[in-house]
Amino acid sequence: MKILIVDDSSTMRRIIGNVVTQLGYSKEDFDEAEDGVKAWKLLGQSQYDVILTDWNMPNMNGLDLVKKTRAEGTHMKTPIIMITTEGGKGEVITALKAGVNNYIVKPFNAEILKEKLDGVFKK
Amino acid sequence: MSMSQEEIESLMNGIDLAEDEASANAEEENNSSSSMSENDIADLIAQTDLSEEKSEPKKEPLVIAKKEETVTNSSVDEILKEVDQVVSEEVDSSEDLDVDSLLKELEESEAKNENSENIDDILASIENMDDSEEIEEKTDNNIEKIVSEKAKEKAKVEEKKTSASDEKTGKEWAENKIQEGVFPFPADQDTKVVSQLSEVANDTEEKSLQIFDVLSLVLDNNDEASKEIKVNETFVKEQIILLKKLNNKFPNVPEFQENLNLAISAQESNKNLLSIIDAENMKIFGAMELMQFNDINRQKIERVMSVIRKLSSYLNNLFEDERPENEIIVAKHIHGDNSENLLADDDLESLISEFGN
Repeated sequence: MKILIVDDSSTMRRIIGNVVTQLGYSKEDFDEAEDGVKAWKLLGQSQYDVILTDWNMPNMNGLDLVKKTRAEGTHMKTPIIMITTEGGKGEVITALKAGVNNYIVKPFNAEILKEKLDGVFKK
Repeated sequence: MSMSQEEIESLMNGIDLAEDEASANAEEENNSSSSMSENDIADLIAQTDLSEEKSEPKKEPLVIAKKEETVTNSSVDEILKEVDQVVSEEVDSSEDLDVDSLLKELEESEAKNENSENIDDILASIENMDDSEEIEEKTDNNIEKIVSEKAKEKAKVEEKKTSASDEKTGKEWAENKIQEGVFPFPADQDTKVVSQLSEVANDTEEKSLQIFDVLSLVLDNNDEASKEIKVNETFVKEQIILLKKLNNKFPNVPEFQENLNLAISAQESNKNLLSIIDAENMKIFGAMELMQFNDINRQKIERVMSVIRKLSSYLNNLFEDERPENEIIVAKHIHGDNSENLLADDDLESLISEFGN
């Protein structure tokens, strides 16, 4: 299982990584990117089973990354879970329309992520 | 009646004597001084003749002449004496006057001589200073230049000192006002809003990462401890199996039973340790999850910063003047101010009159 964690906050990347390890995954099972541009580069280099991305990021935000991933490349059908502080209804609808598979509003815990991941993999 | 010859001769003698005496006196007078004029003498003589005529008409002339002669002679002598005295006095006075004038003249001449001597000295000194004077003039000019330059430098230093002292007093006054809470903090790097907010966000994220590192270290140590405990646990498990077999085979040996009990207790303690470690790990994970609020609060701060930036750009556009910026000189004290430096009309007039322009 290969996981791509995309977030401009290093603290947040560590948190998500720890949560992933809590779920039984090792540190070698996930990679980190601080914005959409670097994430797109990693997506071109490796194959990932799931993408965990934030919304508000510099250079390329999460919404643009989702649209681009869904439009081109090798990860057009890879599950994408958006983990963001944007909790408005309009923003959730916008993200779902862009192609995200699930949506997590910060703060979250390991159980929520596990539940979302299970739901995505089941699909 | 005709006069006798004797009468005539006596009369003539009387007149001649008077005349001779008068002429002699006149000569003396002339020789000595001319203060007693001849007219005065003649008047005196005339007065004596009239007095003799009045006493005897005929003889009276003779008698009068005689008397007159006698009177005139004595009076003339007296007169002459008086005249001599007067003349001598006048001569003395005149002589005194002359002496005074002479003395004055002498003094003047001496003064002139002294002045002339001073002038001569000066001229001599000037003559001697023909060559050295030029050098002295040059050195004087240099000295003057140096003195003026030093004076200018001193003035500049004093100006700098006064300006530095003024700045110091101004800074101290401003700091006191800030401490009192009257003035806000100055707009520097530590007090600018956007700068401070950005610094807060970056600093909290940095410290959060450090805390995360510590927590991660604890997790790693717990994992290591768990691994060691698991290794012991397998050992204890095998020991339990062995002791059970021995106890079954040799029930009479109580040591086997005792060790079996100890092994079982060790196995339980290992389980307890693992559960404690797991519980600690869960707590650490919970602490890590709480650090998500660092990211949440950072985004809140960035939202405020965005509003401030937009507000700042709006205000800049609002107050911006497209014309070239030229600093306008504004009045410091305007009518209506509560300043103590405002002059009333009377004070203004008195100030103007003091200058007297």
